[in-house]
Amino acid sequence: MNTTIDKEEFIRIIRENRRIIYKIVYTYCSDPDDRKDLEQEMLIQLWQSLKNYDSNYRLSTWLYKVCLNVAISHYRKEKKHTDGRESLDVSIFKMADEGQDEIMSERTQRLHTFINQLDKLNKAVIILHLEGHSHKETADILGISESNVGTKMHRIKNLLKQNFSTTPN
Amino acid sequence: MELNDLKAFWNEDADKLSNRINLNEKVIGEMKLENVVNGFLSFLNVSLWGRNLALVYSLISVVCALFVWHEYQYSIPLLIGAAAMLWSFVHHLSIEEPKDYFKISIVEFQKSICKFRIHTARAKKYDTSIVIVWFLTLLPLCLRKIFGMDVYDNTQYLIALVVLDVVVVVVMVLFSRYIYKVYDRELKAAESHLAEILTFEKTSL
Repeated sequence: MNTTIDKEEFIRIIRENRRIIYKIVYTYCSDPDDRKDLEQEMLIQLWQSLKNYDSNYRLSTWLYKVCLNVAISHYRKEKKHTDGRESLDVSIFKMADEGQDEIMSERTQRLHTFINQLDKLNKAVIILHLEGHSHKETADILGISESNVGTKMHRIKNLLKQNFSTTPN
Repeated sequence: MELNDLKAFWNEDADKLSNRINLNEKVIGEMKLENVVNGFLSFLNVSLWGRNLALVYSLISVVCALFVWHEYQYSIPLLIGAAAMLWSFVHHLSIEEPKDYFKISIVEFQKSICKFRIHTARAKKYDTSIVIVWFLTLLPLCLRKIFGMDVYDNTQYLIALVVLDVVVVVVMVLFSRYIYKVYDRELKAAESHLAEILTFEKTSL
């Protein structure tokens, strides 16, 4: 697909699906510098993977697949990322009102706190669930079995109950 | 709290975000080289360190040989180890010094990575052997100086040296296989990334 798609088309795809990329980047990286590196890695992988894009799949499904795979492998590297490598200086995202980050609602903070304590694969499972994907779609995107997704969701539900039964609403 | 509540929070957050996030499209249009350059530089620097260390190892062997100069069973192997390390240092002088890869073309940068990958692939066989030879020539003296074990006067000590030699060889072979595999994989990935950036840049916006 790379041979027929141009840069403008690529940017259009990224623009239309910016929320997906943003959500994944922010869920996997807490460090702002590391986020920029992850964004960059995602862009390169998305561009590389465009040639293998199967139009039988929804574009968003393909996007989740690529971005989550990059995020999971980046997450593994994150701890080793203290080797003096410099991070990129610009983010691909511009926020309309930067100050809003600090006045995140208490509910949103709790949501992020909960997701942040999950491991890399469970994070992917919960993101896809919250984005409305079925167990089958989640299994397909992450390359794991449907029953594995079910088991992980069950554990996440239990963890959610444990977490929020001990904290006030 | 149930999963449905979490979903409601997520969607609420997502709706707010959709209105706030814009893309810095210029940044996407100028796919950056930083990650590839930084990755390559770290490999290059490790190799240059390795090359310079070869000279240090060679000097260590020479100094040790001078201390036991008339005990030829020790000094001759040490000099062989020193020569092997010196040869390694000289051979690796062809590794190019890091330069500002942001100022050269992507094709030139690809050539540098390719050249480095070929050099590493060629060097991996004898580099491992040289390090093994150096360790093996140094071990008898280390055993004598540290543990008082004169391996050439005592059969049990000699057997201990042989066992230690085997351990060193196995560890070094396994370690070098792993390291060179990582090198090759990462350098191939860097070349592939550059090829994609090149394709990306060639397409019209």
